[in-house]
Amino acid sequence: MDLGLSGKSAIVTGASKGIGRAVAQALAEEGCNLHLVSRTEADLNAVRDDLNQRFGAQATVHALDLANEADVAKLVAAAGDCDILVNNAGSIPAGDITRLDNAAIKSAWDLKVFGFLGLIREIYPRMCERGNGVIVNVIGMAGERPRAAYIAGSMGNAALMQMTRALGAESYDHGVRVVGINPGPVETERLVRQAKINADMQFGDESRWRETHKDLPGGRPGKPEEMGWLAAYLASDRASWISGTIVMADGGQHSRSVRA
Amino acid sequence: MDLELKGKTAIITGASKGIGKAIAEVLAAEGCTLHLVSRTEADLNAVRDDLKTRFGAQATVHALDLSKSEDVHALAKATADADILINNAGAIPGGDLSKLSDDDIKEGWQLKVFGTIGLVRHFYPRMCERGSGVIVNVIGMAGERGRSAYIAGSMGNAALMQMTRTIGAESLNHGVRVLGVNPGPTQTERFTLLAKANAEKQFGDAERWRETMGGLPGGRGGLTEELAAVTAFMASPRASWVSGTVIMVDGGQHSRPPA
Repeated sequence: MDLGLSGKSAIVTGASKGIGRAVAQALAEEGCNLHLVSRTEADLNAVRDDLNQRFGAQATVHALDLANEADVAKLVAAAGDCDILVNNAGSIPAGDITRLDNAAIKSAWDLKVFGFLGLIREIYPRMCERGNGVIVNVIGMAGERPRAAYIAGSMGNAALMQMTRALGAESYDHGVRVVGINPGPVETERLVRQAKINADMQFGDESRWRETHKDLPGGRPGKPEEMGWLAAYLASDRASWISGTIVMADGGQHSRSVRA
Repeated sequence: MDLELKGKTAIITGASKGIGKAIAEVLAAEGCTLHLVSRTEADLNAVRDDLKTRFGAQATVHALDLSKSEDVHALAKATADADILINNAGAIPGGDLSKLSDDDIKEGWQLKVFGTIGLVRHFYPRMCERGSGVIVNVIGMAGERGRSAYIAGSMGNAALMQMTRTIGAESLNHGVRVLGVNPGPTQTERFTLLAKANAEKQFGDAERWRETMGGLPGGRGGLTEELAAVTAFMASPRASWVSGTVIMVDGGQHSRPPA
C-alpha cells in the first residue's frame, strides 16, 4: 500500500528509544524527512545515523527538554512547519494518590501532558492555516483502563485522550487530522528492566522475565515496531478519514472483563 | 508499506457495492485471493471481472443470503481456510420503537447481526485451531452514537461492537485478531441517492446534493476507498497488535458535542 508519505516532514518526540525510535524507523522507511527529539544528543545521533544508513533517510536531531517552554519554542522555530507531528515523549511516574502530592502530579505531567500541549498549541494552528497536517499522540492504555497505583499516568493519559478527541472532532474542517494511539505494555528497554525486577521478586531469577508477561494477549507485550507501523499508517493519507479518536493497540487486553 | 497481504485469502460479505466493493478493490490490489458474497450473482460477477482485469485478482463469487443459516453454513463450507473474514453485509432499516415490533427488529437484525454472528461462530474456532486469522467487522457509528429514529440499527450495531471487543479481547491467545471499523456517513450510491432526494426537496435541484452535507467534517461524507484502506490495513499483519477494539472512521464527527 502506498502510504503517500515520501518526502513528508515529521517531528517525532522521544525518538531515541522504545516506541519513538520505532515510529521514526517506520516513517524513515516510508521516505519521510525526520526531526528527532529527545534529551540525549548521543542517542539521537545514533538513531539518525542508523536510519540514514539503512534507509537513506534524512534526519535532524534536536536535543531538547520539552518540559521546558523555551525548548518547545526552539523546536517550533526549527521544525514548526512539519507535515506530521508525533507526540510520544514522556513517561509519567507511578504512585497512588496518597503518595503523590499536587506538586508531584504537576511535575509528573510536565513532559508528557504539558509537553504535548506546548507543541500542539504552536503547530496545530500552523497546520490549520496551511490546510493540511496530521498530529499523532502516542498516549497509553491507562487513560482508558486506569490503575490506582498509577494515578498520575491514568489521569494524564485520559486528559490527552480527551484533548485528541476535542481537537480531532473539528480539525478536519481545516484539513487537519488529530488521532491517538493507546499502547498497552510494549517491549521497550524500560519494560524489560521492570520485568527483570519483577522476575527477581517473583522467581528469584531475573532471566525469567518473559514469564511475568504470560497473562498478556498471546503471552507477550506488544513490540515497538507494531506501534511504529500503526503510527505511520495513521499519519498517512490512507488514514484520511480517521480523526478525533484513539486507536487501542494492546492486543485486546483493554477489552477484557475486570480483575476478580 | 508492504502490508504482507499477498497470497492471503479473504472473504468479503456485501461485496457487490459500496464499502464492500471498495474493500475488495484494495485487497485485490494488495494481492489477496477473494471470496465475494452478496445476494446478486450478476453484480458479484461484475466485481469479479473488474478485479481480474484491473489487478489480475482471483475471486470466487458466492450468491447467498446470509440472513439464512443454511447459506451461512454453505459459505463456511466453501471457504473453510480463509485467512481473513470481512463482515460487511447488512443494512438495518430505520424506525423508532413505536413503529417497530419485536418481529420487525429481529428481521432487521437477521442479516447484519445474526449473519455476522453465524459467520464468526463458524470461522473463529477454525482460525483458533489453525493459530492464525483476522476477522474485521464493518459495523456503523450508530452503535456508538445512537439515534432513536434508527433504534434497531443503533442497538444491533452496539451488539456487534460488544461481540467484537469481547471475542477480540482474548483471541490473540489463539493467534487470531478480531476488530471492528465504525463508518460514519459514507458516500455510497445509496447515500448519494438519498442526498440527491434531499437536495431536490431543499433546493429544487438534485445536483446540489453536496451542499446538504455542510454539517459533516470537511463538508463531506466518508469515501468508500477511505473505509476500504483502514479495513485493509487492520486486516494485515502490520496491525498485528490491534484486536478487541472498534475503530471510529468518520472524520471526527462522533467526538463532537451532542446536538
